[in-house]
Amino acid sequence: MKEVTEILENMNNDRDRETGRQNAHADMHKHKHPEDQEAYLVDALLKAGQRDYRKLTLSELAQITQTPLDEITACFQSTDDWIDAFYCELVQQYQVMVERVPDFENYTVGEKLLNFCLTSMDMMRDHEHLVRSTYHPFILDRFTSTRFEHVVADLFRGFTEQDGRVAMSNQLLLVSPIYTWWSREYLHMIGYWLSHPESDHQVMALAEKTTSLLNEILYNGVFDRAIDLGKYLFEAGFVSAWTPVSVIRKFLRF
Amino acid sequence: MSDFPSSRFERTARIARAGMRVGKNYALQHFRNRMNSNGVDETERKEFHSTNARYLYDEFSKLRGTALKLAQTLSLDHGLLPEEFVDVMSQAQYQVPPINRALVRQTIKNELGSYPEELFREFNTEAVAAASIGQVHEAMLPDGRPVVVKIQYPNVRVSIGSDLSMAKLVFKRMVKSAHTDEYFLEVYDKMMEETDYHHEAEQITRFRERYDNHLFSIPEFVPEFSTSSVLTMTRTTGEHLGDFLSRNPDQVERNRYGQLLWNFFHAQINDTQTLHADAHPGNFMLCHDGRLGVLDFGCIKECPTDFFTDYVSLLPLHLDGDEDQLWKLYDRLGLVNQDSDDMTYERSFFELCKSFGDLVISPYQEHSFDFGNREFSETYTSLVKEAVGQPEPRGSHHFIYVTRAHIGLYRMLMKLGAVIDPRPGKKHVLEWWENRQSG
Repeated sequence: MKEVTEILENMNNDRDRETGRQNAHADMHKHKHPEDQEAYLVDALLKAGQRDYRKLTLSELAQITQTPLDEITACFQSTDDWIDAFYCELVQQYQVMVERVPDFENYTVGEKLLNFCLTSMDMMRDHEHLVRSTYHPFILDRFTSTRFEHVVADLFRGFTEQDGRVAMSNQLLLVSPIYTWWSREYLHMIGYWLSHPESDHQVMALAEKTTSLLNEILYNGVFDRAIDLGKYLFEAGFVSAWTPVSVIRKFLRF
Repeated sequence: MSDFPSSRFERTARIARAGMRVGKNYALQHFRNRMNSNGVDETERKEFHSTNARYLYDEFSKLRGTALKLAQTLSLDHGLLPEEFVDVMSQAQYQVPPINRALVRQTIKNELGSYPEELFREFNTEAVAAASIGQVHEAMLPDGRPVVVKIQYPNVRVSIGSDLSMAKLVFKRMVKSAHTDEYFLEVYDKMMEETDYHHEAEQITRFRERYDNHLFSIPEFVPEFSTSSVLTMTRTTGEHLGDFLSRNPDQVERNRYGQLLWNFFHAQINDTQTLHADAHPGNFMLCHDGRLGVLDFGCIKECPTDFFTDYVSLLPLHLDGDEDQLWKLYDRLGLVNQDSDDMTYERSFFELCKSFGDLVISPYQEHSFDFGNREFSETYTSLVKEAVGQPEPRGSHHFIYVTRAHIGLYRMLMKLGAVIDPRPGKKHVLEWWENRQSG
């Protein structure tokens, strides 16, 4: 009887182990969203230790992460793609992190922009080898725009659109090319920082001064008030005094 | 990383611009007054001073650091500028616009290794006080202790040298003194100490050991959350002098607050020869438990034995009124020169020092002294102005911070209008002095 019990227990244990293996495999591939799967793969790669990331092929990535190649290719078309995904993952992690920052929603746009610049630099420091070897060739110097660039632009758009203090006239000017431009400037700043290892303080001061200026511009309501004045002049009929004839007459008299 | 201009050029340009603008305003006002035969309206004059003071305050607040500290010291400690300037500049003690919250977060990460939300159970991103060198945030440690975290503005330390050399240049043009370099070295050393939070941490610990008792509350330094530019200490809760006065407290409360300030100053006359030299309303608090909270330990003056003994000797010798002894004492303190060729000038300076000394010790001659006495405050202010207005600044460089502590105490007591009992302080000082003489 005791032997039977032992056999049954062993069978149960074997079954449990098998189920565990199956669950683990399922866990590995259960991400429904491609972003989650990408994040998982990038994370697995980073945990596997340092290597020459620039020469890493997708088959090597499959081998390192113990993932079937077809699943890898479903996420990434090329090495460029997974490197791009790594940088996008930084933005994702940043967004998760700021949810824990008390009072973050009350930060000004300038503070949010600066916070992103400084925090992303910290995050990049944590993966210095990868960032130093891939940032310029795969992100900054790429002929076409990267997904990272768009993700950063979207993040910046979120900062201004969720802020109720931006002047109305400035909101009208905040169109997609502006965010793309800001995003490019951010990429260049990071590029400068990576190329000049001693420039930490310089780059931080640059970021601080630039974001302070942007904040001043965005919150400046001069145009709002000018539009308000124009509207009043028009509605109250004062504009009639500025007919072309009267303007020419004034000009000639002057 | 900076939230304020740190380059010498930028700082000089801002100071020059502010100086020129205020100078122009005063020149125009002077011209208008000359043209106006009816004289100047008092309200208009006050408003004019306030407007200029506010402008200067705004500009210096942007500069922060040494420039703001010097402007604040000039206006508050020495009575050189109109009272309206004092009112506006007193904001610099704890109401300077705070720096960017992202910079605060990053400074904590750089200094303590993690972001505030990871380090503290709670962290208030809004600064509860912001002054010339740093700003203060309330937080709660993981073990539940409420603390304040003092964060130094980035680059403040870097700008000290350039700000002081600029001030020295102006000072040398205004006054002739063989001691200018000594004075500026003293200020430089103290500013460097103030911007080294390790030094302040040591002082907090020492002051807590000496004075934290049933009368005074001294915070506890928290070393594991502190570095040379982030300082964490336990939180003292209560009312600052300004808040206290704004609720128009009764005379009994004023007297009690005043007596605590008086007792704290005199308790420091002991063998440690160390004084809390930043005596202004922002650094003291009336705690909810009735104790006097002392908040800032950046500017602490540790005196050499000879100077400290001589400084304390001023009280017994002024009480005695023996002029020969006073001449010798003043000579040792560098206030007069008994070997001078121009003894007429020396005598006039002696008289000025004696008048000032007699006034300062006048509270010690009473059983009860009313610092709200208008005559006392007017005489006091005019004598301070006369002393500061002398063509040649005199005295040991140690006077700078020791008088700051003493004058600061008197200014606070006058602001409170407190009636205090000076006898416990006097008794303590005289006993210490007699022991020193006999020892």
